[in-house]
Amino acid sequence: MTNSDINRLKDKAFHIFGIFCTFIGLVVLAIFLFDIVVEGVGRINWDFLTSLPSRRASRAGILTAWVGTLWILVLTTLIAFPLGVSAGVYLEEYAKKSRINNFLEINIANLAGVPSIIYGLLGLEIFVRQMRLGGSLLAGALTLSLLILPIIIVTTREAIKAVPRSIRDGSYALGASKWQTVWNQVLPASFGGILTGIILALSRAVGEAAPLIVIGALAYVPFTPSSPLDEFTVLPIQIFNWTSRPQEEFLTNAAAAIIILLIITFMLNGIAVYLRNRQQKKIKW
Amino acid sequence: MGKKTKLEAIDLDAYYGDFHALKSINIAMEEKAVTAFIGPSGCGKSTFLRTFNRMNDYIEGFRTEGQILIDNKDIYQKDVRVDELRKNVGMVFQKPNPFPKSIYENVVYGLKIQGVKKKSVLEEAAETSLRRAALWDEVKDKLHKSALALSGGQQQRLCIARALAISPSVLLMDEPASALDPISTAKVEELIYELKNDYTIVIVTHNMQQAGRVSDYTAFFYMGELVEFNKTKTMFTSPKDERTQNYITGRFG
Amino acid sequence: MPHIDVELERLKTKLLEMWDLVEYQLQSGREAMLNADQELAKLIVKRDKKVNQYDLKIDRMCENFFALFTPVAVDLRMVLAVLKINANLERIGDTAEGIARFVQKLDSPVDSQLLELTQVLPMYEEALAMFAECRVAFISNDPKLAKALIKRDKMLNKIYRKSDAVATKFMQENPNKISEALAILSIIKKLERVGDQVTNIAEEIIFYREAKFVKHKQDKKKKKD
Repeated sequence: MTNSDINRLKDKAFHIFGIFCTFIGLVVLAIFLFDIVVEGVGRINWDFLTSLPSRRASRAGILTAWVGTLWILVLTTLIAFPLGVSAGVYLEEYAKKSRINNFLEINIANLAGVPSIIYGLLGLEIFVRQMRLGGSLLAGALTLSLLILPIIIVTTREAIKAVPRSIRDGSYALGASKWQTVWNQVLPASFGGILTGIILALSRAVGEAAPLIVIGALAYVPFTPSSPLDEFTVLPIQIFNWTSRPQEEFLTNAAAAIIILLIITFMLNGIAVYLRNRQQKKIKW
Repeated sequence: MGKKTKLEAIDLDAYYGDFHALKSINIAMEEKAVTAFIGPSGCGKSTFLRTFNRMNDYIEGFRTEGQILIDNKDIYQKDVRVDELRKNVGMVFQKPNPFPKSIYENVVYGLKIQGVKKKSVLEEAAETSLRRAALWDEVKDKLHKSALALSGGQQQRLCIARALAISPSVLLMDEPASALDPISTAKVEELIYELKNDYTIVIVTHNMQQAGRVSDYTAFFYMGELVEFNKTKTMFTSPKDERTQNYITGRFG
Repeated sequence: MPHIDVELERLKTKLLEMWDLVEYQLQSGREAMLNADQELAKLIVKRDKKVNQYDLKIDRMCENFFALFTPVAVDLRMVLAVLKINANLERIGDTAEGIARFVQKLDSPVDSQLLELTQVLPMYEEALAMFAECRVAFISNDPKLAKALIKRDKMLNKIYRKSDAVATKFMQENPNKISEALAILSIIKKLERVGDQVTNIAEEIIFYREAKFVKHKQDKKKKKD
């Protein structure tokens, strides 16, 4: 066998190995999904979506859980969006290179990697105890906002960075101030990217159970929340709760709830992908 | 010369941090004439161009010494407001950089940020500027379509229209045709020739023929120094400095 | 109008101004010759300086045009043609001056018999007509007209070739009018040159319009034979 034959063989071998590696994750995920769907899909019906939780598995529904999740989504967006985008804009457009700003930047990058339960503990101390919000929706949303802020800041900065220098120059050259340039040119041009980042961050927040459990979100809430200060539950907590029950029927309920949760996250991701594609198509620098 | 001096630099030095980018430049440019800046890359011609609308202010570590006068007023004085300055000194860039908005929005952007809201005023300004930039006939039916759908040459003329809309008296052009095909280049050059009746134009170019075709005066920069400044005719037929001669005949280095 | 066309037009206009001046010089030369008008002859010599100024001016304009516009194709040929036509016009101007200088040597109007014999007047008329026609060909960019002109030059040559013999005979018969005859003979020589120069200009017009070299065609034909 010549040298080039050996090389070709190596090439081929890695090719096959690569395919194997790529598929391993997908296959596991597929098996998991298949298992869940088989178990839970039969349980999903109108009653399941519109019933309050119950001690009896066959009558229990996820109304409070998904309404809670929706509340959390909206509140978290309202809190994290302006904060994260403003911080991103500041760091990218206004901040001069100084030690403080360097320090801030490094820490924001680090924060994105902090385990979510730690955020939960932080939320418990600050929002639940110090601010006396209790285990309310607001406390939960604030905690999740903290969790996703670093992600939003980082993606906002990336999106802003992708706006070419020439657009800013064009705006400045016409006499625009920094704020006018950011507001009229940079943000609209990077909005698709920012939105994509926020949606991906939210889809992470939707799946979080740990920090909310820590701040005291309850699995059993017999009513749907009507104000941000009400107690609440969310889908992941409901699922967590059901899976820890001994009865077989609750496991089926959990599987059904997981399907709903997955649908919500897939939808969010889908919207993000759609927005990103549209942005790419619309603007060619 | 006899005509009025519009733009002037007196003992101007410019630095990027430690780098001495412009070395005691002295020049006086005539009103309503086209002055071309030529010279090899990195010779400081773009830097110098950008001192006239203070676009260098955003670059960290950039500073100037000496004076830049527009209509005999030093624009680096503390009481000069940069946004006011840029209303008077328009700029067109190397690469066409229309905003990712409609053609109309692009043209009226300068007026809108000045706070002009009246639709009739904006629409009139848009039409006038587009006509001046010889673009009106090509775009009048699609004013509200995206500017990014225009061809490169049209985009550049749109950028010129955008600059004209805020009625400046000076137009700075940083290699305005270097990213365009020959036909579009010719159109932009024709436009410059037309516009010099009303505007004082300074154009940076790498294209020697372009400098010859469009400019009345030419300034040759080399290593941050103004080597020679003269009528373009004189510069292109009998330059005084040997470095100028070598550069314009393509025998550099 | 594109900038380059504006400049080309200026160049053409300048050349036509010079053309008119030279034509006027030639006509004045004829006038002066017929009447032995010393004053007019002096004026012609003086005015030749103006022709020379035009020559310099147009040369400079062409130089600038090359430097600033780097013309190609038809524009390039146009400026090249202008440059050469300019040189020819200047020479025709010199010819007019030369004729005037010969006129200055005459002390009385030229003997009518001499004029008759040498055919200098029809020759002068023809040269002037060709010159005027050439101007038309240039203005109207008409290569056909230019080609016709080249053929007309033959008549001038014919008269010129005979002139030696005719003048010799006249001088033998009128020994007291030898200097007069010599002057006329020189004028005839000059006019022959005018014909050649008009031919050159016509060739330049053809070159500029059709990008074809017409001159020295005869040489090639001869080589083939």
